[in-house]
Amino acid sequence: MPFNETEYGKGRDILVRANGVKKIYGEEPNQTFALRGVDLVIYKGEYLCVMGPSGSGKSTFFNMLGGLDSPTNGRVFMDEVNMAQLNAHELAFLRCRKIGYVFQAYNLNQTMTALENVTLPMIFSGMHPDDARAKGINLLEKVGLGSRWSHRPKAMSGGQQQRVAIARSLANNPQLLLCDEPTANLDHKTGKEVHKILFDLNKKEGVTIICATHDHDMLKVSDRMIWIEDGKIARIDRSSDIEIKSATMGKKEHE
Amino acid sequence: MGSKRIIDVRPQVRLSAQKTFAICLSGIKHRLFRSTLTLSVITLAVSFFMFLLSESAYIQSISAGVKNEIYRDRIGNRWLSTYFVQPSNLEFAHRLSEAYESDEKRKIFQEVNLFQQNEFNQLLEDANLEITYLNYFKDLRPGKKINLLGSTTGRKIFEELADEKNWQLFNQRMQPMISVKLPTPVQQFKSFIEDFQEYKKRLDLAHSQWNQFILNFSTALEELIGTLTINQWMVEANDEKLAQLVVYFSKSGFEVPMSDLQSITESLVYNHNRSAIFKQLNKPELVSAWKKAFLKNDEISDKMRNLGNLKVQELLYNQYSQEELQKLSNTILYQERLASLEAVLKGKNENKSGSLLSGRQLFLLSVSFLVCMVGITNAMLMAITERFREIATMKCLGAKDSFILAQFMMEAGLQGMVGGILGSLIGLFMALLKGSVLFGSYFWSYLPLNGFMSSSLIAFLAGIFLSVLASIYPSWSASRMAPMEAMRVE
Ligand SMILES: Nc1ncnc2c1ncn2[C@@H]1O[C@H](COP(=O)(O)OP(=O)(O)OP(=O)(O)O)[C@@H](O)[C@H]1O
Ligand SMILES: [Mg+2]
Repeated sequence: MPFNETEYGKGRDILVRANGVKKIYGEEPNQTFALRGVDLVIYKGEYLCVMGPSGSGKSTFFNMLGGLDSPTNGRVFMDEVNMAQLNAHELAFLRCRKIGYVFQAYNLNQTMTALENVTLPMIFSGMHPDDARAKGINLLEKVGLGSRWSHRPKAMSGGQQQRVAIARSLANNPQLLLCDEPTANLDHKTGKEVHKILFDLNKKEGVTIICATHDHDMLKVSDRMIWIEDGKIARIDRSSDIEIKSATMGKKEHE
Repeated sequence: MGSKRIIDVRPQVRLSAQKTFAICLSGIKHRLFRSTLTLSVITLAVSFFMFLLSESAYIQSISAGVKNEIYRDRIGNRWLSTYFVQPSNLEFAHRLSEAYESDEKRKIFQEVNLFQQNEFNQLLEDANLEITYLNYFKDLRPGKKINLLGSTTGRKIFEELADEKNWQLFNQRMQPMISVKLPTPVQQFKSFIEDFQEYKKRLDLAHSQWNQFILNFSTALEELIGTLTINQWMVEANDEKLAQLVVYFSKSGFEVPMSDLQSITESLVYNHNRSAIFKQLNKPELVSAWKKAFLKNDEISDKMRNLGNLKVQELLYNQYSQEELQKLSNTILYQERLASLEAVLKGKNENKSGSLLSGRQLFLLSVSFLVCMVGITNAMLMAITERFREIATMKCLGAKDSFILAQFMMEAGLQGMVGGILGSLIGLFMALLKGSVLFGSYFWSYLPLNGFMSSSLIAFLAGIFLSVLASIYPSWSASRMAPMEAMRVE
């Protein structure tokens, strides 16, 4: 049963809209067509998984959605705001308050403690340091690291670091959480912990989550699954269909 | 599609300098080792700078001190030759030139009240110029001198150059000789030559006035000193007689304090004794006795140095008390030391012409600063490449370009400060080491504390300036880094 956009979107608010997004890296003749025209509507409160073989353009697409890079062609709207029309200060504002990022390599500041890492975006947003501390502790408790706030990344396991990174991404109550392969560097068990946290965030607090992953556990809990191939959306599936299709997926991936 | 806004977009707030600094500081605290490279480059450059600065500070201070001591040491002779000997015309010009440079020496002329203030000042200036030029031509290397001036020497040079043809020739020859650099601008030299005859007239007039004054004065003094020379008279004089001399001075119109006369007398007595002993040591019977006592044929100066030795005192027929001889020996050693210091300082002071650093030093300094700049820029670029993910992540979290720029500039400033302090200390230490080796105890008694303070301040500021300047480009390129670099995985 093919995915029905009109039926699916009924009664939902649109958070992000990508219109014919293309991205070309490099100059002729060494051009790389990372994205060849992507159209996608993301609704508020969705849990989205983006799948695709390596080099298919997932990270590139994330950069466009998160306002980290601008498309060569096409437009990205964040709640009806054209991202291309924002200046550097407004983009910084958007990245600080409206979007949270979780990276595959955690990207924690090695010189700061867990708490300092988490409070950094709050400091950037102009929050009072005392309030930031209180909120930071709160967030660390939420990811189960309340007692380890004074530890530095070096003293933590990969899973713990990624959980700190998630706490950090939530610092300013973002509308949208972009996770680019958040569990790729983690073992199965710690990966599951991260999944659980993301799932709870989505379900309990209504944070919109877009997650690039190869991880089948994550697919099961998502609302929709986007399959990108060679810079284009090859297929969109609802989570309810996934159990039926996961076998074929697995096959494709191992080709 | 929903019409209500979920997201409103405003410009990001700017972070206060205080918060930026706090973040910068916490970063540095955990990266101390990595900034050692930049730090050592800055420290090296600053310490070199500091070394040069404090070296020139202590040389200035010591030469002023040594000059002063020499002046004090020779005050007796100087005083006698000032007030009781009629100087030649050139000597008179020399004294005017000295008076131009030092207030102390100017007092000698001012006390006498012979000259009109304005004209006298002009005369001092001209005399100083003349002596400067004369010294310059005298010290010129012989080859160059012949090339430039032929066999002409002394004041004749000025007279000959007053001829336009000779001047043209001189100018033509001088221009290609890069190392020949007049002590003043050429224009000033030219106008000095043009006015030379005029100046000479004024000088002659002042000179004859001065000589007349001295003649009058010594004639008046004859009443007091009789047929003795003033030198002989003073060596013998007691305090009572000196008091009489003071009265004579004040009658002639200038005040010399008693204490000055006493110290002058003391210095005269030493010189008198010295020359008396000198004569005795030269007597044939003493020379042979000396050879017997010490089994060698020493120079007079070596003998003089051994005046404290008991055997020498025996040789001198017990004419002088042991204490006296010892004191004399010390004085001689002291004078020799002063003379050798004077020679060292003369070498050091060459090409200095009043500025803080010589041309060669400035050249060395600029090269070292340039190398340092390249080093710092390089080290900073390395530090930024190392931290590219951190920078990009910060941007993803909402850091503005200005924040990143400020972070790195602050870091550079702090590194400059630490490097400045370390460099100043190291440079100062090396300068102290070199100075104390060169000048021994003189160095410590003429330590230019103020000079060292201002040198270290300058060196410290130079360190910050250098570090910040060299970090502008790396910091700027860091602030321009794209936030999507954060997504990269290597
Ligand atoms: N900065 C860049 N400059 C040039 N080419 C790039 C750049 N970033 C990505 N590409 C190219 O764009 C294409 C898509 O890359 P992208 O990183 O989006 O893939 P991906 O789907 O995230 O892959 P992976 O699963 O390995 O992370 C690739 O062919 C890549 O080589
Ligand atoms: Mg990727």
